[in-house]
Amino acid sequence: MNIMENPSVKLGRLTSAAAQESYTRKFVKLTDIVGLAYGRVHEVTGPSQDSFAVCIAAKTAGPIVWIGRDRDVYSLCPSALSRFFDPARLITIECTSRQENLWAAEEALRSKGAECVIVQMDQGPNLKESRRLQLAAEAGRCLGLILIGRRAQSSAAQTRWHCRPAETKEAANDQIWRWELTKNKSGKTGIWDAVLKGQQPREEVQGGRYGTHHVHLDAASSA
Amino acid sequence: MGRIMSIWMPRLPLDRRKRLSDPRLGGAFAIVREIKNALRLTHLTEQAANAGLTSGMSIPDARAICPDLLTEKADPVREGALLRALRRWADRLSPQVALDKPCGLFLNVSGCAHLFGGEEAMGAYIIEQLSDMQITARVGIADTKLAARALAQFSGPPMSAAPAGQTGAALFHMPLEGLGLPSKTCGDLKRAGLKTIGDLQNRKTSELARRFGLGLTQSFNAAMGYVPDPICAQAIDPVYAARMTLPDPIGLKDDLDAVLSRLTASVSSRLKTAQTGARNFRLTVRCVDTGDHDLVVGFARPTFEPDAIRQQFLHPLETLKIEFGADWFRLVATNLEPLQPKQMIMGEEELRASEDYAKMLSTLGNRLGFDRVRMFSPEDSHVPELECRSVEADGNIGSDAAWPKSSCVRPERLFRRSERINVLHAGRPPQSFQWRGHIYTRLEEQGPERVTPDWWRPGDNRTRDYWTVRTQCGSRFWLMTHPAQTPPEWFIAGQFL
Repeated sequence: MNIMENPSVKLGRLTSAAAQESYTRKFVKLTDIVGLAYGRVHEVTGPSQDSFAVCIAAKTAGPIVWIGRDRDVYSLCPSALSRFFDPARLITIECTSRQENLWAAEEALRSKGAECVIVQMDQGPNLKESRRLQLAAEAGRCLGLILIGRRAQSSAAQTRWHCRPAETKEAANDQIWRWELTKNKSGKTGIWDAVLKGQQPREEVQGGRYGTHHVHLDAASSA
Repeated sequence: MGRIMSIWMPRLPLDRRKRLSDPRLGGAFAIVREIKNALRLTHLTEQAANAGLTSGMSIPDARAICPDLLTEKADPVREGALLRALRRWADRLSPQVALDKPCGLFLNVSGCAHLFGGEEAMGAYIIEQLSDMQITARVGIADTKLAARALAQFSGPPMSAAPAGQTGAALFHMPLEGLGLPSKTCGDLKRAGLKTIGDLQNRKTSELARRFGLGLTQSFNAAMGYVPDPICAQAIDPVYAARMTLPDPIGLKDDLDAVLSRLTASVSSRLKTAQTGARNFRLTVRCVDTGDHDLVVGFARPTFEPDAIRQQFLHPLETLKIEFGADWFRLVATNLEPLQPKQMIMGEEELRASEDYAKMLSTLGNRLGFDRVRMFSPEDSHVPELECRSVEADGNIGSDAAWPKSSCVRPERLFRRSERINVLHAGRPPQSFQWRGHIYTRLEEQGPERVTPDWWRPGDNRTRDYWTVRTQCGSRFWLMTHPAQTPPEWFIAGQFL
């Protein structure tokens, strides 16, 4: 499936329609049959978890809150993320411990101020912690994504996705990931290959036109 | 450089008693204050000084020397109020007036003195005006604050001015106390044989700093004008504060809440009338046993909503330990800003969403610290790590300006410090490499993009080449190397999604 035909979902500030929609929102639609439910917490594991989070966040309209340790949140590069969403929508919250992480996630989910809350953690929340997050997400009617670095525990999350890059030989400009739905509380599991078409065109570099800070290949090899 | 005037009022507490026509001032009289567990004299009348008393003496010693001595305890609050009243009076002399506690004022008189007929005439005018108010004053004018104060305190005539640019010569014979140093440092310097500021001018700063600490060299440099030491004049803003004193101490949560809601109602109604919002609110709770406790809450957006203020104070009040109760409360709004009329024209749904958003930022910021709730702001630079800056989040959703379009490829994860990789098979870029315990084999690459860092910034200013490398397992990395380096070192600068 090609989920990201038009990856640039740009809604800098809430327009009136978007705001109204955000109070009646139900799903972030991935395909005709798959959607991530609002008011629920979803877990993401695997090496390409960022891709999943960014693609989902791009399909929401309101502010995006990204919670994590300082290396997690400050390594985000807004100029690259601007391909997906307006980086001005992104709020980064730096936490120093797991407890702070969970507290900030709960507050952000509950507050209705953010539409998509992304939490980066080493170890996944346990049943009690994730149940609290789940209740907070229900109260705030917003979408929670928990990016788990190491191991997921048994939790109250609605779905769990395992994301990794798909091995491919052709289509160098496309980015392909394999998203595997390993847990689904209300539905079937499955595997999807997500294709992000339209990488930045590189013709201007290879064609020999000098960009502002591109170096032509000949010049580089002589350096 | 500006011209600074110091007005030094060495007998301000006595002058305050004189203005109240205290009859005791005719005889031996002193103001006392508790210092080092004893009541000691701080300010003396002439008769008391003639009897052989000095400031710093304890009352029993002083009574032994001069049995007729009458004393009065210092009243710092009223003396401070008098000084602030004098600051308001001094607004007629200069636009920039700062307090020099406990008994002085600093005025920036550059461009003002000629209105009074020159610096000398201005100083004489001030001394005359103050003596009409029964206040003894001395005036010093110099290029820096500390030099002006030293002249006011230690030069012979009540008015003295150092010519512009000759601070060093004017201070040469002044005693070291003129630098406003702690008495211990002064004592140490005297024991080392350094008695005047001129003695310091011939010494190496590094030697002085090593032996007497950086405080000495900082004051010295500030006095000589080597480092800037500007006047921090505070504008006389309206104060939005409310306080409540109770006959009996309280400590129950409901009672505290009731006090808080009355205070917030009072402050926020006045803020609302002035169409002003505050970013910070400070609640001072005076416990009967442990003294004052300051609780501060911040807001992502200036606000006057009483409910929002109360909500944010709930958590700090819960964590405050009140054992025997508190009987005095004061709520003050600081960091005032005019309210943006933008909020008024928004639709209802948008208004609610933006209020929720600001409330979330306030809640997170008050608990974690506002410096940890941040957003990105674009910068005009071609260096990858300087393309954006992390700034504290304000309460406005999104930005008016669109994010600048970058023509270059950037990874979604840009490491703040590039990580060195272990090259297994060399190449440009490497055929295979090891990073974080995994081995990656290059499948295809794009690049290089050459970036020349800003040479005017400190730090590593070597030219860098960036390559986008797709590996066999599908991960894509942003490799970095410095050109013309043998053997080349390779780093991972970032990782693509």
